[in-house]
Amino acid sequence: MGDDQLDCALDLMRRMPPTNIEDNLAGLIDLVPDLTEDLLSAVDQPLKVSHDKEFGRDYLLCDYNRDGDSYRSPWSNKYDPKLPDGALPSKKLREIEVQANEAFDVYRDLYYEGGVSSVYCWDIDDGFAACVLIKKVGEQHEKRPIQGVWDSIHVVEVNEKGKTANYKLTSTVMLSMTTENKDTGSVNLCGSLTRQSETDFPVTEENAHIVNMGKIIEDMEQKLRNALEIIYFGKTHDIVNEIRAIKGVEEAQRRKQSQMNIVSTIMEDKQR
Amino acid sequence: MSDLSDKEKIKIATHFLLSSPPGEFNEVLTDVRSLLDDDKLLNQIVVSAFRQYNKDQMIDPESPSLGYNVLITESGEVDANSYLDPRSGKVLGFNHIDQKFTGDEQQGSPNNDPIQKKIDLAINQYISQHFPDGACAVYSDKGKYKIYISAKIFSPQNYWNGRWRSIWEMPARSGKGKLTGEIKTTVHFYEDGNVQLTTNKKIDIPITISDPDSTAKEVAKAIFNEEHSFQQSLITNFAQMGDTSFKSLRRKLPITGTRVDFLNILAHRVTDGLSKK
Repeated sequence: MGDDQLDCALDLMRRMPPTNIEDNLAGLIDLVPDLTEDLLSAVDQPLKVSHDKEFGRDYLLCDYNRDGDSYRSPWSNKYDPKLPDGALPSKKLREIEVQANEAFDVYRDLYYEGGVSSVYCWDIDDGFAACVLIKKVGEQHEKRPIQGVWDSIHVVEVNEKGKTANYKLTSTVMLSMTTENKDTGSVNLCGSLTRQSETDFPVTEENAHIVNMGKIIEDMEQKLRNALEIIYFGKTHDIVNEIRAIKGVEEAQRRKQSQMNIVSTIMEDKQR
Repeated sequence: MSDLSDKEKIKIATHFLLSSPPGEFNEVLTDVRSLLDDDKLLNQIVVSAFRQYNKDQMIDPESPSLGYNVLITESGEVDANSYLDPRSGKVLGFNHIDQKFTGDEQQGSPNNDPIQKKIDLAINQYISQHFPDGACAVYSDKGKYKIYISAKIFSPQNYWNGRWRSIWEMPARSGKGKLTGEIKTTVHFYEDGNVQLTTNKKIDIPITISDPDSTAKEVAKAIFNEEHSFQQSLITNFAQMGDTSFKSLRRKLPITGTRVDFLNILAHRVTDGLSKK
């Protein structure tokens, strides 16, 4: 029953309005408290920002730097509110974590020109896991007040196998674009896409893990960014235009027919 | 086991059911049934949730006897299981769970309002010209004409569904008046993710109600104009969001035009570290 229920809960979250993730997740947990831990780690939520006073830097909150009700800062490695026995990465892993935070901070600056990033690592059997988070809130323009929020959540599982390591990546980008103006009324374009990849890389060089993780995350963000662009601004727009044919039903049918003719001509040419 | 009271469970389950995207109520129901794990409790809410959802979505099942699609709406509701088709004046038995008409039919009060009939004709023509899968209903309700338009496209095999709804109303008396309306669109895309578009625009324009023919013509033209300009603006809006706002959130490539050199970043870090020592 438990596994079925988790599948159903995840299917439900794929259908509920993405603007209410927190409320819907809270409802699910109330309904099936046994699934609390599974749901908190499987359902991505919009990233929240906190401030590390000691280092004077912002950091991001997620399930991976949470222990109880406290969150660990990647800069000071301390929990807020204070938690004396909070889970910490091993000393060796903390070194990787520090370097990864610095490297992805540069990456973030190059691609996002703003925003906040955080990397958290934890030890697992045969290796370690890391999550790389980036949040960017777009600037609003006076003429067209479009509010844009981007949240990247990358979880990498690294399994060391001698001179190579296997990297399993699950990436989600949550993107929300909202606007309200007199011509369109309120427009809310929200949601997330998730993709996975798995690759083996040599780990002979120093810093190999960070370089390898950087490579696969950069590839993945490229793919996700392309997919988001196509789905948000192409696909949803096409679906609206299929529901209401702006130039008329006849014109839409004529266009569809001529597209099909082109396709069948190409197919016939190929067969010849 | 959960400590939640039955009342709270019902509230959460109902909220999920009523949040179902267009065309996905049954899938959400399957999920909620498993999560609630209490069919007795579910049975208490399932019919009323279906009824509310069907009306909210303004679903348009086909009436086999009438040969056209009839809208299920708040204005057309005679009781929980029968809905008025204002075009024929018939009251049709409806099963909310199957989302189908039962075949029960009764002649309601005859509809002799010439303005209402002409508006229905004109809007129906507009629907056939612009909505490949749409339907409308024009009710006369408490001194007002209420015009409902509902259109959909379901493509679950490609993981997307969408619906267009608009509701318009105007006074049912001659002279100058106001045509007020609301256009709502919903699109759900869920292949490897969950992306939803929801839009809502409210409209308020002056209108003159005179003889049936000119009134119907004016109303249909006004609705066409408003819906056309809304859709045009939405297309422009998509382009602007994609061109400016999206690009400013995350660049396609760094300003240097090349990918990030992580090895180099880490090397710099080592040198920085050494020079500090």
